[in-house]
Amino acid sequence: MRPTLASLFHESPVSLLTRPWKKNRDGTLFYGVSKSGNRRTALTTKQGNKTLYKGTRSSGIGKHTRYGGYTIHWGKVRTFVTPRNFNSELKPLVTHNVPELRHNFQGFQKGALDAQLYFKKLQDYVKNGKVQSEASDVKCYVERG
Amino acid sequence: MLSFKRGLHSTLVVCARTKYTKPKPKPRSRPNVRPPTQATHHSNNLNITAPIPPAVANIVTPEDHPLWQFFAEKKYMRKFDELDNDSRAWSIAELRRKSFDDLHSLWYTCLRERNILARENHLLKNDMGSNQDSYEAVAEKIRTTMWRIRHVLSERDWAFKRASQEFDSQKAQFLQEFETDFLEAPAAEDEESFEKLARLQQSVFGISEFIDENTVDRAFVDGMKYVATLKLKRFASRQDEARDLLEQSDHSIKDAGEAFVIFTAENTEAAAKEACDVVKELRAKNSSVSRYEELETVSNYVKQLAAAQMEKTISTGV
Repeated sequence: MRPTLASLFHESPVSLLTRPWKKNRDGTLFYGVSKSGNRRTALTTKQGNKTLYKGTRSSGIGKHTRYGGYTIHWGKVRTFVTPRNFNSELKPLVTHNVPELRHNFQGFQKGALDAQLYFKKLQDYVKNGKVQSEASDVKCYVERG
Repeated sequence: MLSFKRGLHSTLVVCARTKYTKPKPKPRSRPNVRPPTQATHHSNNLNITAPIPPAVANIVTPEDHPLWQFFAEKKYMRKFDELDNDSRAWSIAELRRKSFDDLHSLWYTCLRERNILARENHLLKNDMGSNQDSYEAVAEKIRTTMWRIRHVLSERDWAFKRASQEFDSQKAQFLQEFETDFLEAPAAEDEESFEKLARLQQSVFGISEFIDENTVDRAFVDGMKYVATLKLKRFASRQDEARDLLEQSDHSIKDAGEAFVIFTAENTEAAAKEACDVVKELRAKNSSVSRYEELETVSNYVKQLAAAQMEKTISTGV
């Protein structure tokens, strides 16, 4: 009987099938489930080639001085403008019992962007002042935009 | 012997206070001496107490801590049935009816809610290792509301830009239509008609009803002339002065000074008559504002009027 070659020691039928993979001690595969790894995840901000922006756009708000200090340029600092008259009665979602309001732009070719519609609204405003439109009634679900 | 001809170096040495010179007198004792603000423990007055074990119960969180904004009703986590699962996102049409301030507020409300949901979702996925998507589903609906807010704002902006481009060609017709309506209204509806005129001057020429809010530019002066002419036309059917003035000035007021007088007069027949008299005086004096100095002169007038109004309100207020 020929002795088994020492170089073929690892090439048992099972290890040949699972060749590029290593196993943990409990028999589970070390590398995960696929040989090639998962290449379809989204890029992080540190990946990508030289043309891709890698950062959070949160720095670069000033200048380094000659002596190792840093002067902040307040024009470049990000600011968040909060509403002056905060209306806390509005909630992020609407109850499902109310039908969705729809706008209809009959006679106005470009819909909400139509200039004629804008003039019409302006004319109505000059004529009547600030008036609630008919959709302020919950039952109304189609209205001129 | 001192030699003052020498330089600074030796002068300093000579003037320095040494043990041979007379010592500085002691400061006088002060009557009101403040006791030390910080107590030291040199006198061994420290009491030793039992150590305080680190425990959650020993930590007090203030009620208004800003990080509470990341919690719903100060709960660690909401249950699935506590979530708003049925509600839907705002539709675009519903958002179109809201003012800018409302949309701005709604945006921040959405943002806060999404922060809470993101925190809860993170806990669920990472600490508890769950596959449930309930928090994400609600957050996605809120995200829909948020892009729709942005959509509506952009739509509004584009509509305004397009309309203001086209308005140059339509302005004359627009004003003409308003004028016919304005002049046809009966005398009993004076008040409503002048309210309409105020809204028109605000939206077309940008003239505010409150005189001190205005900045004087070309549009302001043009609008002032237009409004003055309209006012005269309105009263021309009832008043001889107004009619005469209109006919003399070729049915439109061209001088900025005259326009200012009529524009700032109150919207009554008596005030209009007074204004007509003032304009006639101005004409008799032959004083007119040249077209090149209009902006400067009118802005001076506006400033004077605003100052006079301020004085009046202060004196009546006191």
